[in-house]
Amino acid sequence: MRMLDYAMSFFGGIILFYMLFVIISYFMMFITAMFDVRKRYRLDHSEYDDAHIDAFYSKPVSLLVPAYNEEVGVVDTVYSLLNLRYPQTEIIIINDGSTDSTLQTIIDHFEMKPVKKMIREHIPTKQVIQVYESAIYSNCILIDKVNGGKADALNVGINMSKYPYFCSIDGDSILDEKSLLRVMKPIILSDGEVVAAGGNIRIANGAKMQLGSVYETRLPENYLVIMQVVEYFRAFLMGRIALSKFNLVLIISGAFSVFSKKWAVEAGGYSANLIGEDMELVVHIHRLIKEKKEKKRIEFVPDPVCWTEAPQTAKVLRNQRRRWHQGLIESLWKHKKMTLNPRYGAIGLISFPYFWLVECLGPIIELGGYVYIVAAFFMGSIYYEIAIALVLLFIIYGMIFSVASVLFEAWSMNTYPKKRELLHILVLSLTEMFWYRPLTLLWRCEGLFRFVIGKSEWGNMKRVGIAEKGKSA
Amino acid sequence: MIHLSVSFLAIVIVALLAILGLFTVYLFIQREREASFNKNRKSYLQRSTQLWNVYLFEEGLFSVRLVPRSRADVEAIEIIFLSYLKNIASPAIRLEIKNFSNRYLKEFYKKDLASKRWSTRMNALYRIADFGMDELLDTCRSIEHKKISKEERFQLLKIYSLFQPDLFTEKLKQLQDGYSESEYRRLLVLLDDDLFIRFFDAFQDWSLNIQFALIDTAAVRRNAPYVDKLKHLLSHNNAEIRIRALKGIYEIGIIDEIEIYLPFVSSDVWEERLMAAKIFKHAPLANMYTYLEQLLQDENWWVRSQAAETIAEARQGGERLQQFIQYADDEYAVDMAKETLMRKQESR
Amino acid sequence: MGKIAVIEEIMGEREVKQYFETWLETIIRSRIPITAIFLKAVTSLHGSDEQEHHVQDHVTFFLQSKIRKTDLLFQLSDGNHWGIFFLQNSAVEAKAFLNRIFSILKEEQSHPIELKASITEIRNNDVTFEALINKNKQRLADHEQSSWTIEEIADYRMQPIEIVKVSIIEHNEIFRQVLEITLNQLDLPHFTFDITTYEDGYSFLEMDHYKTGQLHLILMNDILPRKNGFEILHNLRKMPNAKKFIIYMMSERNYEGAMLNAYEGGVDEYIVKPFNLRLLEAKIKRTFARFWL
Repeated sequence: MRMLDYAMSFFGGIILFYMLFVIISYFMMFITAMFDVRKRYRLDHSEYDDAHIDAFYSKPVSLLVPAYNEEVGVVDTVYSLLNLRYPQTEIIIINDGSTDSTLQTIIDHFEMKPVKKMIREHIPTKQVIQVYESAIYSNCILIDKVNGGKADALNVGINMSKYPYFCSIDGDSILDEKSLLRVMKPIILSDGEVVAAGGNIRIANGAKMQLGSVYETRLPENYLVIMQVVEYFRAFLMGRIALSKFNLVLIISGAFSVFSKKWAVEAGGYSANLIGEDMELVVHIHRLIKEKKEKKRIEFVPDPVCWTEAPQTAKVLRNQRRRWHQGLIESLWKHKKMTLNPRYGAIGLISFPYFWLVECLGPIIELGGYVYIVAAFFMGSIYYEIAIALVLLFIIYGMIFSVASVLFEAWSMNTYPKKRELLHILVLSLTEMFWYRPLTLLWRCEGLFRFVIGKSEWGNMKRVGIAEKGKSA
Repeated sequence: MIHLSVSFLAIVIVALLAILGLFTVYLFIQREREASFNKNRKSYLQRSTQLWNVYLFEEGLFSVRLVPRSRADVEAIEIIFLSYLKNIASPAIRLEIKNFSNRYLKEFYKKDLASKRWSTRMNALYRIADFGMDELLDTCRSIEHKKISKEERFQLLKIYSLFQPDLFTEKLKQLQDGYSESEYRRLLVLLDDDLFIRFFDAFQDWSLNIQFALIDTAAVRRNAPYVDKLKHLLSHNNAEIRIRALKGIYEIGIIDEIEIYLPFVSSDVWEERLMAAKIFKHAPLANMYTYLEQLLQDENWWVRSQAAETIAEARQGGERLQQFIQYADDEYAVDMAKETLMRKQESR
Repeated sequence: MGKIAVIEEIMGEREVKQYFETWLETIIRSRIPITAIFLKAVTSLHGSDEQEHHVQDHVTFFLQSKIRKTDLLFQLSDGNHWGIFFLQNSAVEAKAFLNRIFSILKEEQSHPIELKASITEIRNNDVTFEALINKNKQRLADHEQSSWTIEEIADYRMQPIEIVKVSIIEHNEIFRQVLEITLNQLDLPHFTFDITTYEDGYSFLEMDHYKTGQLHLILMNDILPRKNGFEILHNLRKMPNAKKFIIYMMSERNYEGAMLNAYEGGVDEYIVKPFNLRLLEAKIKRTFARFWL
């Protein structure tokens, strides 16, 4: 019994301590983000946008669209890219050996004609079968290649691209017409000191769109999707913005990010044998920057928007979260020597420990907290106090932070302008900690577990590719 | 201690919830106000778009109904003016907009410039430049003494360059660093030719970013006199400046004495060789062929590729490449020649 | 017998009538006028029939040697009038032709022939062959007219007014209105505009407005929500009667590559924003002025 007592207080203490730590760091990040975002509220961007539509002020960008079984979404994605307000782009669609009619859909829709093109192999990839060029849009290219996973498809795109920057866009996402202009802004204004930039992701479920244009945003009906909306707000306000301010970003979304080709190639492109290839590239570039002692940055840009379809069923969501978490750990593990290594500056000393502790191990501790509360309830009154303290901390961490994120988002960015919709999200965000949070924690722990036991599974995991999200639509 | 912290936490939570509750209420009121603001703006647009059109295009009579009475009206006018300015190039309309803004919008923007909110000040500065409100120049100068952000300072520079070029020159000298090349380009591109030439004459006095921007801006201006200025830079000791000058000359496309570009064929910097291969496009192939053949066998892919393209684009270039493939033994160069020829045939 | 051989080679009224009626139909469709010249020999009042025939044959022979392959010469049944149809020519060229042959005839010493003529430019199809001939005969019937007179008949010069469809595809509502007003006020001879506006590419392509055979001026932005200008361009240019579309593309992208793509894709004009509305008007006027000879 004494052993159990010790164990309970020990774990209780750890969990309490962890929760306090996370709450304080989230709070600080939230405040940082708040000032940063609110500053820009109602700022008119048209001045910058209108000037930079002129090729004289901007740099050309290659847009890479990897597609594996995306026959439903890819045409809309390409349309949204064709409609971008940007002076000089090329669109490279990479069909990663799809087994559905993705290839034919694209060929028919954009009148793709086979052409001979030599590809410079900066990064070794699987074999390219055929290159096509659109008869309608001369800057639109389709590459048909042997299946090799999303990372490999992107690498082929990098090899093919002729511009100094490339932007990766998932084959089921849609870009706002000005988003490329805005995501390139830090790169242009820093004369290339920013070597990679990621945009903000928004959930497209519920939005009305046609031919690559979103023309009405509405809150989705599905509770699971609404919770993901809240989660995106949270991640955005209590993480990305603050981290970006201090060049500590380790994740920019693979669904929409721009990289300097030179640096990406130097990092060996996307790692074909990892799940979280987008995160790995960011970490790798950070590592190169520090190793070469260059003054470069990676930024998250809060404003430019990429619309993406979120999973609508628990099954697909579980799959996604499991994979994300596994990907995260893989990337951290691959570059584990950066952890607490002063050679890598703030990235090694702050980002890495933070990601290991909060992002990677956090789910276990948090889940432990939930277990602790339930256990305390059965084990009698002596643990009540710790349990109650924990519950209260969970309320702050889960409920209050979520509500605050939703409110702050509404105040500064106003994604869902209708009052009824706002109320709807607010009420739902109050319930997050009771069902959604534990579920996602569980799934993330699964991902962690998979990382620990199953390297063998990697091989076929990568074949799932990006189609996973598409299936839910 | 834990007991204390529980009640403490409870208090914290209640307090936070209360704050959030109040904030929600505030937010909802704010929404309401925004909605009515938008309604007013829309009603001005519906009322006056037609009137503006008549006024600006048909030299119609000025109507008092055009005069803004509220912030919402000002925003509506901004929408109308910007639609005109961005789509239509007409000095007459520009002048009308300037006069109207100087007269009826000045006070609004003056107030905005004094605002505590950064985005409000920025928007006002944008509009002052867009609408050409020169009567606010003094107000602009006065805010410069306050602590202002980099973005505001940039916008001020732009305003000076529009209204008072001398002041602009002076301020730019003080602010040589801190802005990116593309920002300097945006400032320089607006200058008139005289001032621009003066900037160029003082080339050495500027910081590197401004120097780069000067070269690139000269190139887009496509003016013959700038070619001479750029030629002077070909002997500069900074390679980047030489490369950009070459690029600028290529873009302007006026090549009078080819001799000065010949040394770049054997430059140590591959970008210079690449630019030389580009510039040779503007000269007859017969004179340039020996040099281009040398560049076609360059160690750098880009140089080879450009040399092949330059040859292929010239008249009888195809035949030259064919011959080259026959007798040359540089494998890479032959490959490049073959690929270029193939592309050329396809595009026919 | 040689005399008959010459006369056989030249067409008579009846045969020409059929040709004329076919040509008449092409005038409006091809926007190219036909011009008719009628010539009458001014003979001395007391010449014998034999002499008259001789003069007539001579005129026929002379005219045959002067016309081009695209011109059609015929002789009216009264024998003393000749007609020439100039396809794809206006009165200006016909007049130049007359001046040229008259000056040759005036120089001619051996066989003095004197002629007078009338010119009719036909720009619509409200005319019958008979009416045309009668009108010209009447005009040349006046005996007081001196030799070498050139009369002009303007009755059929009126061009029909053609309705041109105009589609403005532009996202900015205010500018769209401005364009509509500008084009509505544009005063073009012989054309009227039937203007429709659209705010995106999809709504334009959805309407079947563009599928008729009428001349169609399209003024559109290159970047548009839901199907952009390049796609519209491609769709229109691959239609069977693509020539009827006059496509103006407006763009805010100041980038030569985009401009090249646009011209290669088949735009008639590429205008970088902001542009001068007067310039746009002038360009449109010029485009339409080219349509009629």
